[in-house]
Amino acid sequence: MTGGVLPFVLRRLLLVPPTLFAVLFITFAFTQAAPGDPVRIITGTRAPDPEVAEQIREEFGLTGGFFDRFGGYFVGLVTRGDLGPSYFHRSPQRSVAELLGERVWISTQLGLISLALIFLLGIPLGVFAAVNRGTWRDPFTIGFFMIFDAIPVLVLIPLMVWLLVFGLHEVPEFFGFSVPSVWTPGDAASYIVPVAALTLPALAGMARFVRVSVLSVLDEDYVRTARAKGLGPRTVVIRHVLRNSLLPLSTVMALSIVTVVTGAILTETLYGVPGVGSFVFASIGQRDFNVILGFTLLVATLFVLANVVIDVAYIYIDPRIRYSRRA
Amino acid sequence: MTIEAVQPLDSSYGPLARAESPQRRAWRALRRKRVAMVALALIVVIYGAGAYTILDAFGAPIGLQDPEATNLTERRPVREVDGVVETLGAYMAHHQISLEELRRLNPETVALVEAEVGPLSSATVVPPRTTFVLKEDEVLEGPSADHWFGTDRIGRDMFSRTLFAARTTLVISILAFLFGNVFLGLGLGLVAGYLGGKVDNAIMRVGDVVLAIPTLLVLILVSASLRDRWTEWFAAIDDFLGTTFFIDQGIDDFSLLFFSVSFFSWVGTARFVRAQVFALREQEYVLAAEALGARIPRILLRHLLPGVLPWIVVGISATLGAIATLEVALTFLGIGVQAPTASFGAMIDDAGGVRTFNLHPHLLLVPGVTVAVLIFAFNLLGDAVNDVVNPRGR
Repeated sequence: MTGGVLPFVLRRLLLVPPTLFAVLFITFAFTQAAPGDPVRIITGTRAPDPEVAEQIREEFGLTGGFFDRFGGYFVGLVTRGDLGPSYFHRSPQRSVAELLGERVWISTQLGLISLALIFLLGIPLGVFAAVNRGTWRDPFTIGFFMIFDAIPVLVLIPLMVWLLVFGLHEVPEFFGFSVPSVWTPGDAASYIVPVAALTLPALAGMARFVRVSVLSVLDEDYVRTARAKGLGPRTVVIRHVLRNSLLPLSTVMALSIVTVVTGAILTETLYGVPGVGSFVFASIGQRDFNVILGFTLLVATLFVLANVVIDVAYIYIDPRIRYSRRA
Repeated sequence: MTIEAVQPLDSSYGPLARAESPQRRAWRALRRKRVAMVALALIVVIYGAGAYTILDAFGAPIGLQDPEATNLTERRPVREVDGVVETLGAYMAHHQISLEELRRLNPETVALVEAEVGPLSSATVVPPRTTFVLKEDEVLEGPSADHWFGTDRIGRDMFSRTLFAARTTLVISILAFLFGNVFLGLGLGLVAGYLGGKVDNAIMRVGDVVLAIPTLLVLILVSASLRDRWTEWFAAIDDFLGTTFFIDQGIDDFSLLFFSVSFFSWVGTARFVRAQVFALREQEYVLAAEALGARIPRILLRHLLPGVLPWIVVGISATLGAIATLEVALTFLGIGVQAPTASFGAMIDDAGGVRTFNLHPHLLLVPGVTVAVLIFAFNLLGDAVNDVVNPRGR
């Protein structure tokens, strides 16, 4: 039994609000369960004046029981896109949405460049490994990039910076421009270290995925036909193999997005990038729970929406797929 | 090639040789892969070192420096007992130090004392309140015979810290695997796949939510909200039992870490197991079991579990590697194992910046290389196992 496309899309979309609501509820509950009076975190004093404390509770929506607070947060979020006020950035009082908004552009740039590179480099690497199956080049390609997957980012970035500052000091002009050892606004070369730190560890996974996918297509009859009629190996791979083997790639896209976004927390912090990631890291130390909550919701929304878009796009990309309700 | 006569199937020849099980065949194929065996050996060495230090938790002598002991300068004055200054012999016996060592560490003091009371011997009574250096700072030293991996900035032995860090990773990743992948993932996957319907729907929707929450971020929130309470509970258990074992050994940290990691990492396994069970439950032998009136737990554990278990084994490598990676990041974010317990994350975090690295590279390289080798070995082994099990990718 084949279901229509539209009912599938609708069913898929209908699941989004409850999922996001549950994510919001769980994460909000954790922030509320944190021990200690939030007023202390906000004012930074052990025993704030009771009147001031009352005022702050009012201002931050900390009055009433758990469900009152949750309701307040939920209504603010849905009606105004309000992620609440920051606990830490108080003079002047800033909102979380504002603080994240200021920093999101730089992180988005880094993330998009890295994602593009992961696909642009990972796909050819995977194809290369698959085509060279049975030779030393296959395990070597994937194995080499698995080294970067194994080195923790916390080690990788210091090593890269050390190379730039001390190791390569003989080569001041590195590929035509000098790479700074820490994020320098306005210097395009600053992008190199964080982008490399976000891209390199992900390449092995992408290449491996593409390799398996290419190998499964490589044995298909139509590929043999293409070869038999005398097409060159290059043409066979590009025109016949690649098109079909890249379909499953869309499924890893959403996961790659999350990896890059959460990877930004460590990468930006270590290289001093003034983006969302380093801001969230600072907020952990400042116990600015609203920031962490806001960022978590942002990433979760991104993930859920990306998944829906990919699922729906898949119907159009791959006409073989039929969505139907299982009996 | 010789052709042997086919033996007739006669009961007098005894039972037929048992066919090789798929597991054994896979293991033999894996044994032939040199890379996989090297990876397995590396894992055994690092995990083995970690497992060895578990003995320490039960008070067995393991011949390693205390990973939390600092090798800083130690000075001790000569004691006066009832107004009588102890002899140098008594002092040396008390602090377990030889005369040569004392001379080597205190050339100036010894010269001053000898000028006053003559050549030193065990019977010498030195002036009251003379203070000797018993041990010199051994801070930020490179690898040496005393400290194979050098010492860190407060003089802790990096070799012993590395072994104890391996223990931290070992315990957390094995427990997180057992609880997250096996108990939650396998269990919920079996139940969802076999029962189907509403139960399946409920489990999978919960899975959707859990998957949508970014792990690293929710662990930050979990740690912030639960850590203090969690520690209190374990302190209460300690009080109840009259020990200090749980808090001393950091059981509270370990358990919070693996519990919270488990709760947010079961979905992948559960989805996979569920898909496998969908296929298995249509098989005749399951129908036969149902017809014989087997109860649900029996069907799940006796009839369906053996069918999916090999797939769980295949996933061990990837999971353990992933958790080792996660531990490093979590500790950097301040929500992993708390100081002074040794862990790879804590050691990497302590290594300091680029300038420190230039002067004392061993601080970063020792934990960094060890953990990278471990994760690399897990990934290599995981790939090899996958190749053996899914011949298509070969």
